[in-house]
Order: sequence, then structure tokens, then C-alpha cells
Amino acid sequence: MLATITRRILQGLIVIIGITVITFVMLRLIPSDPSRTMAPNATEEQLMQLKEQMGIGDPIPTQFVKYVKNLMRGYMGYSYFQKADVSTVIAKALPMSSILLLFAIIIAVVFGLLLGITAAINSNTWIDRLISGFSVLFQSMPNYWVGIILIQIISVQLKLLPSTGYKGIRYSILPSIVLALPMTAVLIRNIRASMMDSINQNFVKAAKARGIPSWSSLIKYSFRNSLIPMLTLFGTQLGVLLGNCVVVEYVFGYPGIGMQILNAIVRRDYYLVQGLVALLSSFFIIVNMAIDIGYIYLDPRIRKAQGGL
Amino acid sequence: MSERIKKVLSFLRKNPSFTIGLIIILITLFIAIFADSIVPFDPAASSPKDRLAPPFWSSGAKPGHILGTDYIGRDLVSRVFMGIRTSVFISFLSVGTAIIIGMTVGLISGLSHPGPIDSILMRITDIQMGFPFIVLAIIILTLVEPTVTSCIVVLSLASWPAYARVLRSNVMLEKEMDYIAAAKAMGASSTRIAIKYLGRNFLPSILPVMPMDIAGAIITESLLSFMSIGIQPPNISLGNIMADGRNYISTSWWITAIPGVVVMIIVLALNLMGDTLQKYFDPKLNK
Repeated sequence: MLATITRRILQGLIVIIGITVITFVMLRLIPSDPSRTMAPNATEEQLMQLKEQMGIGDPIPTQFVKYVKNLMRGYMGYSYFQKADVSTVIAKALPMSSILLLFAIIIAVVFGLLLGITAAINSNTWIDRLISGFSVLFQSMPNYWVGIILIQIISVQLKLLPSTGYKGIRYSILPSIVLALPMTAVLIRNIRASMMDSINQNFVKAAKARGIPSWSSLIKYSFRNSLIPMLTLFGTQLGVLLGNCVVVEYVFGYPGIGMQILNAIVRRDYYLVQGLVALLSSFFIIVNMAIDIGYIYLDPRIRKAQGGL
Repeated sequence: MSERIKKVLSFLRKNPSFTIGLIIILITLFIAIFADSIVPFDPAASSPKDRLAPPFWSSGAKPGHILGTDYIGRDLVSRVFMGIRTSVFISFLSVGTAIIIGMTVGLISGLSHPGPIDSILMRITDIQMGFPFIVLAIIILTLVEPTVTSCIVVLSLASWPAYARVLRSNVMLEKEMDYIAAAKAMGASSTRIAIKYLGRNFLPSILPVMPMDIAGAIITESLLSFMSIGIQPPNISLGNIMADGRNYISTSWWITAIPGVVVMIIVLALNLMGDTLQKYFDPKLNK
């Protein structure tokens, strides 16, 4: 088992390195010169000097070697447009996005469980149909569009919550609701489905036959049984959530990681983009790696059949 | 009536949500194919005196402009129809491209498993899946010119890894089967085996995913165009109509709202179809 885990971690490392290299090369292939953007009226000589300062003067392979050397010393580079170290920019933006993600996950899990279980208990009644109908509907709405419409209705018309920017925790509420919507819909549908699945399993039927009320056996047995597939679902949903986070931050002008990435790409703020992409993908990969390893640990069937992971 | 048609009809009758989805998609395809002949107005023609006209149900609606007009008086129905054409064209082709890439990678990977080629291909697949897609899309679209072709290629990057993995695991399972050994013994070439036998189980495993991937592609395409890094004007996409309307949303909400509703309806239809297919092809339910 230790060998499998080591291999899984190595694979994750390879992927993170691969993403870093690809980002590095792609950014430098963009036909535009960030030093020119920084100093539109500079002479050629001044530009060369500026490029040297920005760390983009050397040929791409040399730049890469320098970048990796710096990374090994824990230095992620300097953002010339923000006049700050990349790590400082990240340290400022990360809590903002974390709040957003945390709120969204809490909303999605609470409402997903609540509505998913309600739908499963009342399966094939109007309650179930209503919940399932809404969840399909919310899953089908483009996230960014929901954001625009909610800003218009809730912030502009009803003036309940602030719309864009950030001046306090109130500014995180609306974006996290928008971010939570599609995930809630997915959770409702999956929780309902896996509960329905385990309702038909013998141990639940047995509990019912022994006179244990159906809702209590549902929560005690079916729910527990549906936790493992939920773990995998969380892994795949995390990728969707991170992507949506970038989009929602864009729509709300919310100053988190997503907004920083978009601005950095537009300004060709190379080292900032690299740092942020590495951060996002490492987070996604590490969580999924942890889930895979957790899986091996939890499920004896997988533990035994350790062939092709 | 032939047996096959009867079978299809009874499937449609038993699965009303699939049928509703299918009807919506057929209408969408009809609009996409015949958009330029059924638009009531020239989608690019502006008419300043009719600008920001509301849809037919509100007061102040201009005759002819059923869904109103945008900020320079272009007819919204016509623009939405052309937008549907762009979205449908791009999303169908991108998923088609994704399937081709995914099948190729999956087949090679599955056949060469276990081995270095398989490992390399699977790491590439992992890299693709681990790269935050929207960020990748934005970087690529600033790197190359955002044309219809580049949008198709970029969107196909989102879904090929899933197809590659499905085919790979199919191939890995099937290639140990006796009938493959029999075919080999009878002298069938490996290409023939790959196409005829190993691809056989692929369709049931991708068919339920396909509508959902197309739905995803429609949403992402409209998003990229909304962020003005996808389809560029004067080409019309559902996303850039929404972007056009965002500055006027307080007074003329319909310009942004309507294309979003259209995206939602198409995506909903595709999700309904995907759900039914998933249940239909679920081996647990079929046994």
C-alpha cells in the first residue's frame, strides 16, 4: 500500500510540474511585450533594462532555470504591476477566495443534504419532483448569468446586499450564493440518487422490517453508505468550483485569486500568473490525491485490487 | 411499422423528459441551421430610432421586434438566432473533436498498458484535468487569435480527458477477453481488432456523457464570449449579446436576460436527455 501511495504522490508531482512548465512557456509565447505596457514611451535601451528587472530579459530556457532555482528557495517572483512579491499578492487575495469557497461549500452541503434527503424520503411525490425540478433548472443556468441577474435584482433593485467590489464580509454573501448554486444542484441530485440506491439494499429493508422508522434508518444506514461516492464527487466538483470561483469573482469584481489571475493574464504579469496557476492546480491535485489515498485506505476492495491505479 | 421504429417510439413514450429535451434540441438545431433564412431582421442592421425597445409584452414595444432591440436598435430575435447558430456549431464540433482526441489517446493508452506510452499519455491527461480550465482557455485565447476554430479547439480541451479515460478502461477490460484472443488467432490485424471489437463498448459509455459535455461547451462558449475573449464582434454569440446588454441592464434588462434564458433552455434540454440516457445505459439497472 505504501508503494501505491508513493506512486500516487509522484504522479501528482509530475502533473504539477507539467502544468508549471506549460504555463511558463505559453505565457511567454503571447505576442506582446509587458515591458512596453509598463513603459509605453521608453527607449529600446530603457526597455532592455526594464526587462532585465522584470526577469524577462533572458531567453526562455534561462528564465525557466532561474525561476525553478528561485522556487527552490521559496521565492515565487515579483509582480511588477503590483509592485509586490507574488507571495504577498497571493497572501492578500487567498483569504478573500477562501471565504468565498468556504461559504459556498457550506451552503451547498447544508442545502444539498437537506433537500437531497427530503427528496429521497418523499420520492415520487410532488415534493421530490419540485426539488428535483429545481435542481435540474439550477444546474442548467450559466453561473455568470445568474450572477448578473442577481446583482440586478438583489443589489440594484431591492438594495439588500452590496453588488461589486469588497468592503467587508457582506460583499462575500451574494457571490458565494451564486457560486454555491450549481454545486447545490449537483449535490441534491447525487445525494438523492445514492440514498435511493441504498434504500433498496437489504440492510435497509431489514431495518425497516424490524420496525425502525424509515427516516431514521435512511439517515443511519443509507446516508452512511452514500458517503464514499460523495467523496469522489467532491473531488471532481472541486475543479468545477475553482473554475466557477474565477468566473464569479470576475462578475462581482471580487478581489480574490480569480480576479488576480484574470488581471495578471491581461497585463502579462508572468510571474503572478504562474504563481496563481500553480497554487490553484496544486490545491486541486493535492485534494484529489488525498481523496484517492483516502479511498485506498477506506475501501478494502480497492486496497486488495491494487493493480492499475 | 418496422420493429425498430416501434422500439424508439415506446422509448420516447416511456421517457417524457427525454422526449421534451429532444424536441427542444431539434428546434434548436433547426434554428441553428436555418438561422439566416428565418431571422425577421438583418441581425447587424442598427436602427437608432428603435433602440432599446422592450419585448412584446411590455408597453413601448416596437412592432416586429418581438424580443425588443439592443442599444443600437438591432433586433434581438435575429441576434439570438444567429447566436444560437454560433453556439451550437462551436459546441457540437468541440465535443466531436474531444471525442476524436479522447478515443485516439484512450485506444493507444489502453492497448499499450502497462507501459511507458500508457504512463506518458495518462500523465498528459492528468495535466489537462488538473489545469484550471477557464484559466487555460483564457491564456490560449490571448495567445492565439480568438476565432471560431480556436474556440472549438480550446473547448475540446475541456472534455477529451474524460473520453480518453473511459475508452482506456474499456480497452483494458476487453483486450483480455477470449473473443479478442480468438480474433487474433484467426489473424485479424490489430487495427481491425481495435476498431471492430474494442470500440464496440465505447458508445454506451460515452452517449450519456455527450449531451452534458455539449451543454458544458455551450455555457463555456457563451462565458468566453461574454468576457470578450471568445467570439469577437461582428460575429454574434449568445455571450457577446449578453455582454452588449450589461451596460444597459438597469433599464433594458432583456438584452442580457434573454440570451441567458436561451442558454438555460438548451442546456436544460441536453441535461434531460443526458439523465435519461444515463439511466438507460446504467448496467446496474439493465441487468
